Amino acid sequence: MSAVLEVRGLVKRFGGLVAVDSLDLDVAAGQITSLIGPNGAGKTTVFNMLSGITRPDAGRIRLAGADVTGAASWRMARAGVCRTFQNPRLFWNLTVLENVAVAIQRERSLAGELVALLFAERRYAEEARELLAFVGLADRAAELASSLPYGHLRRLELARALAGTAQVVMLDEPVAGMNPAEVDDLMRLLEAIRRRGPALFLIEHNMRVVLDISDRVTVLNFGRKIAEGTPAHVRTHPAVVEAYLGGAREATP
Amino acid sequence: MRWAPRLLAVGAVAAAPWLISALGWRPSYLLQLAGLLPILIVAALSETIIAGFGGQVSVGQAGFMAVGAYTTGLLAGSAAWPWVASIGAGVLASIAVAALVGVPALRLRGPYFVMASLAFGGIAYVVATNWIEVTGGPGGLRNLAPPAFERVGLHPDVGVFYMLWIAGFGTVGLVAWFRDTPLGRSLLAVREDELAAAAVGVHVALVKSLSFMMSGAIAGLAGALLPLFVGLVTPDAFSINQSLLILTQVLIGGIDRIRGAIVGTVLLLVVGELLRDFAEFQLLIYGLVMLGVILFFPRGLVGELLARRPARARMAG
Repeated sequence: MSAVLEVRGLVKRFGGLVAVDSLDLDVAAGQITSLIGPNGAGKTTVFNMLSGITRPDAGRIRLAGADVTGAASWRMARAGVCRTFQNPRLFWNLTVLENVAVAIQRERSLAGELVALLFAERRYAEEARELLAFVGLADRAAELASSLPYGHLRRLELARALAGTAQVVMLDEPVAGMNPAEVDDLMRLLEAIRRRGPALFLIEHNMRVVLDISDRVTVLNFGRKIAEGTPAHVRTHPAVVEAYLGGAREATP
Repeated sequence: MRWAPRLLAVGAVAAAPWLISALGWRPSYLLQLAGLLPILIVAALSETIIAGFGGQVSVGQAGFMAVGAYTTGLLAGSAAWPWVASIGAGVLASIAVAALVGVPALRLRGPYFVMASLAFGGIAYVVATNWIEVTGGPGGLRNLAPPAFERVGLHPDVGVFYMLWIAGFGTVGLVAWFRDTPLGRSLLAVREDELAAAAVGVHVALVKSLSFMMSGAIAGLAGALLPLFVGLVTPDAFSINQSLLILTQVLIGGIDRIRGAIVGTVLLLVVGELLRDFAEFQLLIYGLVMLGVILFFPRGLVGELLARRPARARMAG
């Protein structure tokens, strides 16, 4: 097992509040890693730092060995850390295909980028079409994103996150608001993505999903890692039980 | 809009000089109006890119027009360059200015960007009026001779008319192409959700700068065509009113659509001519029209019409 994403001593403070406190974390290629914890534990803050949306106050983030701490959001995406959002953030007035095509930007040099921005339309569209077929939205390519039903929005966001050279795909509560059938569909899709290559890193509250598909689970509480390991190990870990259900004293009436 | 309407438009423009002279009703006035139309459409399309596709409303487009117009006027006049080369240089100068202005201005959003664009337009106007050694001051650059169309057997007015429309059609094609390049699409994505666009790898600052330069180039072209059209360049053509007029054109038609810019421009040109006798009320009436459109057709006339039809895919292929 090799870690594609290595996090060491990551810290984020908001005023006097330590949202994330010296977090160590490894996300391995070909695995599904889950980040769980009660509301306010700092999970989304971790995602925001890993995707370049907020800068960490201390600590290191390494992607495939390269230091990417504090890199801008678009650089993170091009380096291969892509994400979805807790509430889908799509480009609502663009078509489904255009939503994915926008995300296929990987040029490294300015000259290459200029040429691609003006002339790579066909290549981008072809790749986008292939990704849409993968997530099962091929027949809706021409519709506006705003016209998709809720369950499809997450699929579209996933296709967008897979565009480019995704090495780590981060999903912020991918099954929130879905019915059981949609949850099953999405879990199958996540398995398919894992087989495609990138590491999957998810925040999730749905324990059935977490325990079923995760290879490893990290538990945060008040910004600190309180447990880590296989789903079976984490489920019975005393600190986790306490964080979720309260201490023994409060639990007895 | 497939090929038939486009061919019809080209055919109508090609035949317009003959139709107008056959009509026999104030031919030179009608030809003037028909020649002004492509210039105004090009100016409106520059706003379509920055405000419609980019979501950043500019009230300084006349500033770029001034850069294009004076560059072209100086080169075609005292430097005696050929017109096409002068117009090309005018466009390049506008691109350069857009690059300079864009770097600081594009850090601003919403009302702050509007104010920065207003300031730019104001500065351009003041420079045009007061830098007398170069711009000729309020009197402007005068007596610019049109290209020698007589040598190819065309009346100069007709030759210029065709040049203007070639530029107009070319710009419509350019903007349509731009909209569907990865750059144009990235600009739309930034307008929709800047944070999400960056999170999927869009280089937001680069996309904004390039698009701003594209918008500046097109506004500069509109300005560069003016001296060809009227044979002179005066600063009053680049006042804040001109910028506001451009914004009104695209707001009325539909801010994020090429057809919106065209329809809005035609409407405003026609209404403006009908109201010529009430010049002092013109702005009042424009204001009322704009208020009505914003209240009742917030997506513009074209946008509203399209919204009532089943959506047609733009990138279906």
